[in-house]
Amino acid sequence: MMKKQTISIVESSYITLVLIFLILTLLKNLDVLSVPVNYQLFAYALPFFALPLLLLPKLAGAGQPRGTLPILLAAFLLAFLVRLFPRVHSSVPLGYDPGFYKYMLELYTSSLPQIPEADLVTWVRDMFPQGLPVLSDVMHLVAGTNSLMLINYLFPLLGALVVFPVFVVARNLFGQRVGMIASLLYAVSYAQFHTFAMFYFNNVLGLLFLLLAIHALEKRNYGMMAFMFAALGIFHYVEFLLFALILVPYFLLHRRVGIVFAALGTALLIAPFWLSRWEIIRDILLPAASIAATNIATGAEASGGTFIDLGTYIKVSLAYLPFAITGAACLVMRRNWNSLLFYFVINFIIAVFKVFFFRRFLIPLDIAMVILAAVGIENTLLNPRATKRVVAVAASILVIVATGTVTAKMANDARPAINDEQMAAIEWIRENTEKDAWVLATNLDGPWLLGWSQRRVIAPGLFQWDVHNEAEWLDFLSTADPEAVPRFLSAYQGTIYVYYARNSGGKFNLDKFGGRYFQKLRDDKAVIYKYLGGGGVSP
Amino acid sequence: MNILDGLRLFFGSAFVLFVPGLAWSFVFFGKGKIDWIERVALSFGLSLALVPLTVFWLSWLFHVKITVLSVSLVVTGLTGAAGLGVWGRQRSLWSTTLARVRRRLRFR
Repeated sequence: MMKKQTISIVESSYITLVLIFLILTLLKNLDVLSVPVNYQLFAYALPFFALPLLLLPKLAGAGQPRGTLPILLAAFLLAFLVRLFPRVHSSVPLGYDPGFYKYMLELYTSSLPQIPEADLVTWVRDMFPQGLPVLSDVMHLVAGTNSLMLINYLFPLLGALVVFPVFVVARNLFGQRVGMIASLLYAVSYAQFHTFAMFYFNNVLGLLFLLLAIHALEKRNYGMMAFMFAALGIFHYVEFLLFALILVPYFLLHRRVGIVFAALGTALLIAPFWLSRWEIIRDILLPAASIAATNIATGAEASGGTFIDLGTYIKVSLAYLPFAITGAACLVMRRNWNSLLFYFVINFIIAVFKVFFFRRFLIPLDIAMVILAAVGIENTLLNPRATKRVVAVAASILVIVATGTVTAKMANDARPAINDEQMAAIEWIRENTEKDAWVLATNLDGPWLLGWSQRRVIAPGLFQWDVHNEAEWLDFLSTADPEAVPRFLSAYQGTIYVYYARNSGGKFNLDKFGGRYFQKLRDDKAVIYKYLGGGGVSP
Repeated sequence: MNILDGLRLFFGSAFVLFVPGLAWSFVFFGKGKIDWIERVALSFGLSLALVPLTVFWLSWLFHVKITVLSVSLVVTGLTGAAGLGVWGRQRSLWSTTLARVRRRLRFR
């Protein structure tokens, strides 16, 4: 009797606590309220209150959702528009990487009708698996696309299209309503928008293939799984490694021989791609174990990759975090050992225990969190025995709105690393300088120049033309002495220009370019100098 | 961009990014096995995977040059191969069913 009463009290407290937590999160995200106590602790406490609800049996056939298609299309449109919105402010793409991508895609296109595999410089081979550039070549030949079309339109479109695999995987494993909630959560997820804002093109493709590989695995369609696994191997190694790790416990548990055949098929399909880059793939995969051991043993944070850290991720995903924990608990309690649970556990371990590349692993972790959050919402809030329908729907909407406010704020505030005037200065270089000229720049401006100026770029630690070490660069960037310039630039034959975008965070001491060796060509939001040679010429 | 470029962009993109995957989705999941939402998702995913895999394989193995003609043939070939696969399966299904009916009729 006492036990029943306790469970009843916990159950009735749950929805009240959820509403308080969600309202607090929403108000905090809207900057309306400053909460003095650490209300984030709620996120970890709520799943305990949800436990009795997870033990309730579901009503058979209760509340089959309607309106799947409108909701799915709304999620797709929302994700697409959020990704297009920053273009209202500037025509320059977001992130640090667009210049790298533009250069690489144009390098492949200019090498047609061949694939320039043997001629590629090391950093291009390190940074870009072959899948995307080959696809870009085909698109260029058949549809007439260019690199900018892929950067400006295909990338946001693919980001929005991931809504469909999220829906398909979640629906197949947990039902229609979970699929709908998961697709909406994906559309408003901050982490996924941040992936777009960082311009992680291959990452987005990796997520798409990872989800479809999981779908094929769960459907026991090993032929399709082999193709999706191979696609991961030629588009993005992070998700390839993740899916390979998922397969190990999944195979040990289910012992399906089809998985082995699919893995062998994948090995065959990716053989030409990997054999031609074996030394790079070996250098990526083999040190992973030693990096992981060092990171775990010493608490070091080596090879984390660039993305938001775990603390920031928890803050921005707070609205659905308790439901994701509840969803994972639900699967464990029901002994539902599906591939998504293995995906979540493995990814969680890598990201939370900082095993390797842990920041970048937050991107696929967020996908698992989004689906598990939908499972949590379905089994607690939307359980008709637990909550009134109106309250349940209101709370579910609050989860999406509270998450969406953070993303909407970021979409509104997101600005490219360089502005339109600075891009115009780069295009000026392309139009007005010698085709074989060099451009000296910082590592912040370097990728933009590489992609848009179509000149060889000298930048610290970047590209094949850099011949100086870190110490030499640090000395050169900070010095004000004009005499240091000819010594530094003597390694380069031909005309040299200097480009510097006047942004906060730049570390270039421009005083050294004020002497007799340089002529100032432009000076507004970006400054351009022409190097007049070691002897110097009066401007 | 003129209207011809626009048409080329639309139909060319659909030809590369959707059509081969759509055909292969029928190889992996027969008609009526999945709904159209799932088929659309698979069509994009399969096309994005199959096209670069095939083009790179042909370039690596047979040094096939990547031209408008060769990639158009590759995409058409991929779609056609899937069509053959579906047709072959249906034929074998049909012949199996026919054989079963004949056997039953013979016993009667």
